[in-house]
Amino acid sequence: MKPQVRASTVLERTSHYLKVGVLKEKPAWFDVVGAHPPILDLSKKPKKIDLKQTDIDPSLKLDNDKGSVEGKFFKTRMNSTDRKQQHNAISRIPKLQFLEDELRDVFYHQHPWEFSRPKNLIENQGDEYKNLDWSHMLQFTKPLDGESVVQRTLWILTNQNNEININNNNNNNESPKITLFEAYDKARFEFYRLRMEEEMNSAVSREESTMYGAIYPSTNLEWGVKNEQEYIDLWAKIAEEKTRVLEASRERNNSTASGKSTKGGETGLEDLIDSSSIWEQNFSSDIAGAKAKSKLNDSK
Amino acid sequence: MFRISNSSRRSIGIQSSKLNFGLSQRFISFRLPNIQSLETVKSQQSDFEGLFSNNSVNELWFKRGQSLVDGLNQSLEHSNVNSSGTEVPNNLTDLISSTIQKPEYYGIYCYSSLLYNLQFFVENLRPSETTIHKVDQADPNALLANPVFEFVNQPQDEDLKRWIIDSFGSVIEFRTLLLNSAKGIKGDGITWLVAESNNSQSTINNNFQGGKASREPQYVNLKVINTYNTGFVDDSIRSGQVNRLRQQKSARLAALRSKQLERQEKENNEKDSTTTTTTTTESTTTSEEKTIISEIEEIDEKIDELTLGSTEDADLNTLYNDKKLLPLLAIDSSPRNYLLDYGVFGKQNYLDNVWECIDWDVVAKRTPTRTQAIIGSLYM
Repeated sequence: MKPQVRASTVLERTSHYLKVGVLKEKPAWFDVVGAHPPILDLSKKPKKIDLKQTDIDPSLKLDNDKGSVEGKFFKTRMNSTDRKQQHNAISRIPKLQFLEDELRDVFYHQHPWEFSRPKNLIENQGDEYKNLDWSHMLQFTKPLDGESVVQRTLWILTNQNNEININNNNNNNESPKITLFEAYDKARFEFYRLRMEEEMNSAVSREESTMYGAIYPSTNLEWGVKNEQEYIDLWAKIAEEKTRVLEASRERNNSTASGKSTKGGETGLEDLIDSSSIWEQNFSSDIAGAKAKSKLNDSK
Repeated sequence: MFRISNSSRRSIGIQSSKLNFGLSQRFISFRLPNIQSLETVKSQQSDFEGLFSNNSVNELWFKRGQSLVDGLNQSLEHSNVNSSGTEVPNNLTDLISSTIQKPEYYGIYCYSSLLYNLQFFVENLRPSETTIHKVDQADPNALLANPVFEFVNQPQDEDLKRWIIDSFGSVIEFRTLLLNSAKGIKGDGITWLVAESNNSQSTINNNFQGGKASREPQYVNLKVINTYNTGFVDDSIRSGQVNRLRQQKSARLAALRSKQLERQEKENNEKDSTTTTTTTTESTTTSEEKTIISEIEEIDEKIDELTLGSTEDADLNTLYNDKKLLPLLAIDSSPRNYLLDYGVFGKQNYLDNVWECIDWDVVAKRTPTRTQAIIGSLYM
C-alpha cells in the first residue's frame, strides 16, 4: 500500500481550494483545524538503517578524493536521487501471518455455502473466542460456524496429549503426534455431526408443531421475497426520480462543458467529495419517508 | 403380518369370559405383559444395567404400564363396545386400527396406542455392559458436549445389517439419523425404524388380478420416522385425512343439490296439477329452499376450483402416502424416560445409552423378508 502522506496536508489543500474557488464555503472544521494544525505527521519516513549501505558523507569524500582535477565539480551534498528512499520494504506494512487465517481459508474454500449463513458482525474486542472453552465445539455465546472449527482445531493441536489419551485407547503404547490435518479433520467431523443435529432438530420441530396444529402459510423463501418486494416497490419509484435528476444534470454538464476549461484542482477534488455514502444515506431516509406516506394513504 | 415375541403374545392375551345371563356378552380386558428382563429387575431389586435405575423401571413400566392398562380397560368398559355385540379385537394393533378413525373411541385409541408403543419400546431393550455415559444426573455442560463417535452395539444379523447399510449408507449413519431424530422431539414422541412396502395399502387391496402372493406387501426400504404423543406408526390406517374431508364435503354438496332438484320437480308437479295450496305451506317451502341454496353457495364459495391449493394441502396429501409401514425398532425419547435418571440436561446421554441397549435379536426377529426387486424400485 502506498504511504498516505496527504492526510496531514488537508488544511493546505482546502485553503488552496477556497482561494481558487473550487470550494465556495468554508468547511465547518476549517477554523478549528487552522487554530490547531495537525502536528503529527502520519507519513512514515524511511530511515537508512543499514549503516554499510549509507553513502559516505560527500564532504569526507572531498578530502579523500586525491585524484581531483581542477575544473571538475565535487559532490558536496546529497541530491534528490540520493535522498530518495532506497529500501521500500521498510515502509511497507509487514504482512501478518496467522495459522487461523490459513485454516479459515481452507475451511471456507471447502464449505463455500457456510458463507451464506447469517452472521453477527458486531463485536466489542474481536477476541471473544479467547474467553470460551474450546474443549467442546458448541458454545453458549457463539453460534456454530467455521470459526468454531478453527478454534477447535487449534485447541486440539495444543491439547493433543489429553485428546489422544481419551480417544485413542488402542494406541496407548505409542504416543503419535497429532498433525494439523488430523486435528482439523477431527474438528471438521464434529462440526458435521453438530450441523446434522441442528438440521434434524429444525425439521423435527416443524413436523412436531404441525402435528400439534401449527400452520405454515408460506415458506421461508416466500416470506423473504414478499418482505423484500415491499422495499423494492418503494425503491422503484425513488430510483425513477433519481435517474431523471441524474440525467438532467448530466445533460446540463454536457452543454456547459464546452464553455468551461478543465480545472487545475481536479485531482484533489475527489478526496473532498464523499462519493460513496450520500446516495445510500438519502435513499434510506427517502424509504422511511415513502413508507410513512404510504401508511398515511392507506389510513385515508 | 406383525410378529410379537412369544412371551408377549401369551401375556397380552385376553381375559374373555362368557356370562350366562340370557344374553351372551364378551368382556375383554387387557393385562400388562410380562417382560423377562424387566421382571428380573423388579424381583432382584437391581438396576436395568446401562440404561435405567430400578426406580425408573418401576415408574416407566410397572406403574405407567399398569395405569395405561387400567385406563384402556376402563374406557373399553365405559364405551358401549362390549355390549354392542360387535367383536372387540383381542390384540392392540387391531384395536388401534379399528378405533383410529372413530372420534367416539378416542380414549380407547389413545390408551391402546400408548400401551403398544411402550411395550414395543421396552421389548427391544436389553441390559448392556458397555455404557457410554454413566447412569447419572447430567450437569449443564452435557448440553455442549462433543458428539460421541464410538459405539459398540451393532446389529449382528447379517441380513439386517446389509439392509441397514443399503438403506442408510452405513451403521453409523443410521445411528446418527436415528438418534438425531429422537433428540429433535421436544415433547412426547417415539422414533421408529420401519420397513416400508413398495406398494401402497390401497394398491394392495385393489389388486384383485394377482394371486394371494401379490397382495402381501413387499418390503423394500428401511426408514426412520417419528410419531408424536399417541401417534401410531402405520401410514396405511392414518392416511387420507384431507381427502376424506373433501369427499365428505362433496357428498354433502351433491345431497343438497339433489334435494333442491327434487323440490323443484315436486313444485312443478304441484303447479301442473290443480290442487289448491295454501299460502302458508308455500312460504315454508320457499324459506327451506332459501336455506338450502345459501348453504350450497357457502360450500361453493369454499371450493375454489381455480386455485391449486396451498403447499399445506399438498403436504397433508402426500404426508401419509398410504404405504404399509412395519415397525422394527422404537426409541422413546419422551422426557419421562430420561428425567428421572439423567436429569433435564441428559437427553443425549440417555439416547447414547439407549443405542447400546438395543436388542438387535428382537429387531431381527421383527424384520420381514426383504424384497430386493429391482423393478420394485420403479413403483417408489
